[in-house]
Amino acid sequence: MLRRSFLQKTTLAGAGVLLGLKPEPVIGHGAFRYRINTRWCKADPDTYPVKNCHEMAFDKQGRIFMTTDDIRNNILVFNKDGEVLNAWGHEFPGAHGLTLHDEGGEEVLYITDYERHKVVKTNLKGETLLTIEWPADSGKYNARTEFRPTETAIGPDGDIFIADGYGKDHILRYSHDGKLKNVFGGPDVLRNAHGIALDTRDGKSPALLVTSRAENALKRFSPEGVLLETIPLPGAYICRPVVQGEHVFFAVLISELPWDGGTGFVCILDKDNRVVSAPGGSTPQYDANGKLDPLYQTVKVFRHPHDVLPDADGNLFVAQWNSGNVYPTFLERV
Amino acid sequence: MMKHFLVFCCLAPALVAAQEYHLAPPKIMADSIFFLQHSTVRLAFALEGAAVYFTTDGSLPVLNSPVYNAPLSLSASSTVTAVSRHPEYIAGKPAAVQLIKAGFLPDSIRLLAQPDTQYAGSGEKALSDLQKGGSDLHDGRWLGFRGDTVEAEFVFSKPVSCRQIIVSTLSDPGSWIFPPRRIDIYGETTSGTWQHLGNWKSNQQYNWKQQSADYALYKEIEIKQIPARRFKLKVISFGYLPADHPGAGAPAWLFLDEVIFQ
Repeated sequence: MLRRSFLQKTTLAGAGVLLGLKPEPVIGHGAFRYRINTRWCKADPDTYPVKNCHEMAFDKQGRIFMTTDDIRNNILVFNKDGEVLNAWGHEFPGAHGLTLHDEGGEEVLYITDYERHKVVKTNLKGETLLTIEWPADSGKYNARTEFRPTETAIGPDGDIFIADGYGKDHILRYSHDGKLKNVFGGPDVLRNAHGIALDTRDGKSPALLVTSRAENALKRFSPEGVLLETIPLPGAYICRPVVQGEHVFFAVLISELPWDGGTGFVCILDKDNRVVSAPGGSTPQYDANGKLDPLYQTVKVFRHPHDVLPDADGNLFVAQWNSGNVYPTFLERV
Repeated sequence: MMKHFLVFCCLAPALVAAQEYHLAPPKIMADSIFFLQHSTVRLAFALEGAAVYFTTDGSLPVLNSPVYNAPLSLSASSTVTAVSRHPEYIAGKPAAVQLIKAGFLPDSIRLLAQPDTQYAGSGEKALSDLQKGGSDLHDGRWLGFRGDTVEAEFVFSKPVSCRQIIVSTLSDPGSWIFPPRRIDIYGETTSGTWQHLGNWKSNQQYNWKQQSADYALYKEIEIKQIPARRFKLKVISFGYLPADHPGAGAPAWLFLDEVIFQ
């Protein structure tokens, strides 16, 4: 009896040492390849529930802030190991866009809420500093409910650019204290203006990189609203562009309709706005005229990725919409 | 013996998959879903190390099915089915595309009910342009109707003897687009009278909640073969949206994009 017990224990111990977990697959292309880690987040879903995980941002301390539309904790704050450090926010049923901006030393968050038709600026503890309501005086809207903002970008002078991606596809420029200065874009130019980012890559005057998601394109605008360039990205229903260094990262929600088809992946552009890697998607291929073949999902790593957060080491965190209440996936660069 | 077994167990390298991932289905691209002579079909799955297995008879590809390596030229109606495989991943769900060969093209078409102006496509010609409509209902290939009945007359330059007529329609109940309830086909006899040649009718309760969007809904109707220069198509729409639909009581949309004579 004793011997049998000893043997069982030795066998299990041996198996524990030798039975390793097979490494997760590596996805991506060229210099941008990543090992998948779906177990990065250590949160207990009963304590820190999520519905859709919309967007993420790093603060100066390296903490990750994330919006979710679960009003039990609209903002979750993680450390880089995936542990929850803080959670707050109960008043954002449509918590969506998240932009973290350093205002001369103090970091602030801009949260768009398409359900409450407003953009709210808070400090990192969640205290409200400014609220931008629907632009009644713009002449573009008849009712509060038409304004459904999805994203913000902050200009070098502190101006606030709001993308009305679930509303009327306008880009609205406000002064830092919330006064409307200009409106551009709109449904004739943008189809689902879901994301916006400041693009400073060329080292000259900054431009705005705006998503025209249903058109499968990114569009560059001057801060005054002049359309400078259209970057066609067939097969990519782009959520928001994230500019880091000379690259642009973004989540592709789906690569073909329907909207809930689970055909998403991640994408990376180089300084010339050419796709250099599509983790979870097809190998990017350009024809002799520089036209991109339509991209599509190849490996079902993601269902509906909604945002990509690159860290300083080149790893990526990927938040997802409508994907079974999952926490972000970590892609470790290899 | 037991001791050796235990040692073997302990030393055998064994790896447990942390998580397994499925492949997506491959892409099937036909230069024409509807065709007169032949259609060229390309399969694509741009993942390093992956292979695409395919069939053209509608059966599910297996490991000894052909592996795609060059475009296919098909000269008969076929269903191309393809599956992606890769040693690191679980095989994808099959993708399938039905290709339909037309026997005759009408010289003219007369619509007795006009499509809604939002979805008027390229007019009645859309029904015989061999262009398959896609998920963009404004692509000019679909005709969208909101009436009870759609009637169309197809005229050929000389009498043709058709065995089957295929009506290409779509259903997307979430967008208020429902399949038809009934389709009747008539042919003009040599004596100038209209003869009923065949019909299709929905024979089951349509549970719209269980239906996802289907942009390639083909109603295949076997008809009595008579030589005729003129055929008439009468499509009865679904009617009013059901009581449990968000648009309950409003008329359902009916969409048509092609009528194929075989």
